[in-house]
Amino acid sequence: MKRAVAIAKKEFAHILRDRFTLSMALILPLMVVFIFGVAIEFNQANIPTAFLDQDRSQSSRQLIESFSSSNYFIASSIYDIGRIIRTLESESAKAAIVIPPQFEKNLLSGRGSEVQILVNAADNQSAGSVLSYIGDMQVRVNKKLVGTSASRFPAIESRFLFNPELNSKWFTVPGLMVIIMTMIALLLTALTIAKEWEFGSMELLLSTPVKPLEIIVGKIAPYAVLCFVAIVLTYLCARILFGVPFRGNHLTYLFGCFLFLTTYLAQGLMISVITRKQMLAMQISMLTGLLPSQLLSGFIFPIENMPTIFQWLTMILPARWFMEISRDSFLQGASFWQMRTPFLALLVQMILFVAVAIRKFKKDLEL
Amino acid sequence: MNRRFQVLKSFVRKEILQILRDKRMRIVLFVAPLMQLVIFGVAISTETRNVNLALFAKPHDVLTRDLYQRALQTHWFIPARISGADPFAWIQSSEADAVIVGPTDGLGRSLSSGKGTIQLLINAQNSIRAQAIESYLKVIANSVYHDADGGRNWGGVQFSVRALFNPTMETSMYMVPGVMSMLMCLITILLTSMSVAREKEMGTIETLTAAPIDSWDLMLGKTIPFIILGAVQAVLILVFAVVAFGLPIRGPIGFLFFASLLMITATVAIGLLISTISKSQQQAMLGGFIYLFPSYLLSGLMFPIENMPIYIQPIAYINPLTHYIGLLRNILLVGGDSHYFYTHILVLFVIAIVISFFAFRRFRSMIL
Repeated sequence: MKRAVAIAKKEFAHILRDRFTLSMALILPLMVVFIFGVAIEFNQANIPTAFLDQDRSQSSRQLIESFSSSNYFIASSIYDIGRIIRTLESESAKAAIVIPPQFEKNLLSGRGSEVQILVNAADNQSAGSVLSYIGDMQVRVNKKLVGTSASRFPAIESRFLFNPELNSKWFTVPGLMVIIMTMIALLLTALTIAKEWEFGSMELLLSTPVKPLEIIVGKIAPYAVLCFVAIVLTYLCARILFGVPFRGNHLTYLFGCFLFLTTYLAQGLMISVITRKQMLAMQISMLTGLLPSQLLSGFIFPIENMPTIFQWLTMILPARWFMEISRDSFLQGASFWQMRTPFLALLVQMILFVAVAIRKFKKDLEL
Repeated sequence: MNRRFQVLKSFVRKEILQILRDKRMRIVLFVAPLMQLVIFGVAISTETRNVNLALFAKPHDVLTRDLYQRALQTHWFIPARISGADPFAWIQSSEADAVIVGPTDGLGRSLSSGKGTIQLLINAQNSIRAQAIESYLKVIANSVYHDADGGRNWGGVQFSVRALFNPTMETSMYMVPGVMSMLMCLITILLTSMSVAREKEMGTIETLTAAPIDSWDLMLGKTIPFIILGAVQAVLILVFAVVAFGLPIRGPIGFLFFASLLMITATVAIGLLISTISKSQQQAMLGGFIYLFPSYLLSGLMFPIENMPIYIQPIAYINPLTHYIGLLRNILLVGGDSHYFYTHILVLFVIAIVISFFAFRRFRSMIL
């Protein structure tokens, strides 16, 4: 144990001396939090939209006005039906709305009228936003133009639980915990230990009376500490800068952090033992760790939207389970019992990864 | 001149051989990106789907039940498996994503008394998803009342939507160009920066500078291999995307290659720049991330730029990835507009030149 501490001390000194790595390891999380907290807004507003008004009546103008006053859309006019496609192709508008001739007449006579909306679906994100606003717009437009009486059309009243203002930062910032831990725990560990192999100093270390396990613990411990510092920083940012509530139990959450961290440290160790080269270790931890934890963990793209087979596949990702724990702890205030599935899954994965990593490491030594 | 060319050629050859010598590296470079493309292209979807919907209404409330049934008939909603009788608990326990709560005396009766209100409870952890659920249900509700009315008194405005360029709104069509450019960036930047950092870490950079070649040759020798690797990768990924996903190439393919070449040049130069400020591979990698992260997030790859605060937008526009992704999507999916091509290729060109200039200057002062 003493020897493990000594190695940890030495590794600490390494990190502290290497100002670059240290500041990067701390700047990176802050930068990611900043970008997600400040720059990225999911609720799309101001979608540039071109209107072709073939009716030019009071009703059609009212329709355009209800769109442009909704602050989802920014209206511009086009006058020639042939220009619609060109406008969308050159991406000066994301959507085009075509009001047919006789629009007002048909409305007044009670026949109803159909308005065509063309969206540029090459940009799914914007197209999706347009689609999700249409339900709302339809209600608004009808109220304004037809004045449907309240008795025939019941209002739909939505209550948004856990995030009443639909603040997208509340959604992303708790998820950032996962991303940041992946970056530090997995990548830095994989690289540091791969470096020892690459320079041949691992053999040197192993020939000393220090036991292999002590070497590993000593090497990894400082990164675990670094990771916890980053977690605390992110947590403070989330709470103070972005006002994200934390409704769960801190101790439970900390336990989740610990499980997740250990899993990824073990995975990092495994990668370094297998690759023994920094460049390769980095590429593999990118491919198996960072990209899936960003794209398949439900961080931005909900798992529920995936095809069923991929929903099953995400279950082997520790990041997916920790994402659930993180979000439920922050926003939903779930208890340990309510989160038993993700905790159990994470625990199983942790044991598995640690066991495999240590076995692999020991087996490698015998050769 | 001839000798110089020979030197450069052997340099490039050595560098490529050194990278490809390792079988695992070959897999990482050429097989893994294709797997990633499949996984991310197929799995990731921005369309809200599989919403667990539950109903909380009186048994005789036919209208609300009708609304619920219709919602389940769309491909957006699936019935939630619920336990207990408290709609809030259903959401709290994640058994349901949304619950339709009918009025206590039934919708039909409360409508005739003049104030019918259906309540929706939505789990809004994910704000976009919550909004989409609300909007879907509003559209469905409109159709319920329309039909309940027999369509007689309906004289309202209907919207019909046509999705152009990607009619089924398949996310893979949208994601594939994005993932493609992301993988290209990742590999070229990190490989270049780590390769030079490796020479520094191992001390072999001194040997190189002492060799009778000038700094130009050294720099070209360190960058051309990665430009070649990047280009091969780009072609590989593109061909694969066309074959496996049926990704269309609607625009001029020449532009596509030219844009890719510019992009790879820019990213390799960025990698070189990063390597000049880092002393070890670990530093180079972290430096690479510091660049890659904002560059992914502020490129319009996943988050539209128009949505960003106005003071962030300039950063997005000097990001080469922004222009490259725009070009990829426009050329592949839209097939579009020569004005768009020229503008963005020009911008990409300027960015590539500027970055290369700085990278070269720093690189030269580093080895001198």
